[in-house]
Amino acid sequence: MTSSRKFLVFCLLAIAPALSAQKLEVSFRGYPSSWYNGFFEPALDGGGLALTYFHSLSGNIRLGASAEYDLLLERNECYAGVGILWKFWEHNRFSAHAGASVLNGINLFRPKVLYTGGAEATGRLEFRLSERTALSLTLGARYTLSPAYKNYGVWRHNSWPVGIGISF
Amino acid sequence: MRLVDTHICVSTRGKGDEEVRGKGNLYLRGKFTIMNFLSLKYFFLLSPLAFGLVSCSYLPEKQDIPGVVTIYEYRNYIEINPASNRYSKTGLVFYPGGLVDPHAYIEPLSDFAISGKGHKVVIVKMPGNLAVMNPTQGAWVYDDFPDVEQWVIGGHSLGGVMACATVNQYPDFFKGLVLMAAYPETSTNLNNWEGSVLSLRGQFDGLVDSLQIASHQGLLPTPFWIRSADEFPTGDSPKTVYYTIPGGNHAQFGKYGPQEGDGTATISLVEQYETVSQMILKFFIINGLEYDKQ
Repeated sequence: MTSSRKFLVFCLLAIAPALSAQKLEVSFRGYPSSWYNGFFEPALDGGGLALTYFHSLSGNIRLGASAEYDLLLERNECYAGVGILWKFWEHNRFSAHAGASVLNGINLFRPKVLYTGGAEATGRLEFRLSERTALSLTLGARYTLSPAYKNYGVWRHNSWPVGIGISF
Repeated sequence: MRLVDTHICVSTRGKGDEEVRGKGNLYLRGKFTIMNFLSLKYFFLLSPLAFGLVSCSYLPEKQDIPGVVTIYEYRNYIEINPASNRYSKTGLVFYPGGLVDPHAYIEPLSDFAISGKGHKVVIVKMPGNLAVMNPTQGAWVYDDFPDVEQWVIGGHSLGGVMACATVNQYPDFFKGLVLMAAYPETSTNLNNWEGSVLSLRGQFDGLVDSLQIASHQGLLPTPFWIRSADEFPTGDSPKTVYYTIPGGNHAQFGKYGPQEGDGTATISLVEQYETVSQMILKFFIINGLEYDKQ
């Protein structure tokens, strides 16, 4: 627990300064999955909540930092992620984006937490409600692995995250 | 000037610090206040992290799996079969306890899988290791194992509570219910259910006491409290058999080490799960559930 607390406090501290800026997104995500430990088996892994802070580098490029909490089959986990988002299409209030991110996190177990990490590629459709508020639909492909969980159960799998978010 | 309701939309560093006055929930834009800090953004950030602090699941201890069982790992469940591939036509689908890794039940339930005529056991995986997140998941196993003719559902602790909810929703799917340190929640009334129930509890269970179990017995079929397997009541009418495992506790229904708040067992883990296996087997036999696969 001690190390998990440290990690979560670290996430909090890392994200907190970003909250003073305007582009914060809250999204609810589902994780349909298709492949685990080398086997193909479609399933719904679970769901989660993600908070992402976007920082604009230019008109079309945004950097993102995220904190994520997921309830998945066999485990709960937290991730801190960093990524990049590229806007490649815009029409009226709609815009389309492509992005990629890397994830580092922990599986929340006791008596010890386990490291987990991964990478994700996303496609994103955004609908601007106002100058500052937007709705988003995200579809992605994610690969995660938890090497220390290898001796217990499913330790690597891919999923297809589906997210609905609001940024403000 | 734009009015900002801080509880819904906190504007932090805005364009100039326009002042908003006169309403209790309206604040200076851009100024840090206590209410600002407790605003929606921070709530969204803090609540999952705070929840994360208390939602660590128990990792399983090393499982000593006998060579006479075959275990298959799937994304949604773990399947345990006797290695001989001969088993009773009645299978057991099992819900793990809350925040307990499902693999923690492999060794204890393997003992039951090889008892009697052999049994197929399916341990269901739950999102977040919380059966409450998907209580009807156990009803799906029907489709995946057509060679099993009927099912008994069971669960440990929160898993048992949710097994009751599954039976309540799909009463025809299951012939029996096995509760380990669990009882139905008050909204789940199985009093008129046509299946039978076995309710097991460890003597030194520090998390579920006998009074809690007794006070919910009205939600289950006719109660019989027994002190040994020999006292199992016979007859076709639905019944609930209560048995307290001498020297047992809460955590030893699985193999995941000691649990916070639990009592200290005076019997070993192996002794406890062997007793559990014997009682479930007796429950199967008494209720006519123990017969061979053709």
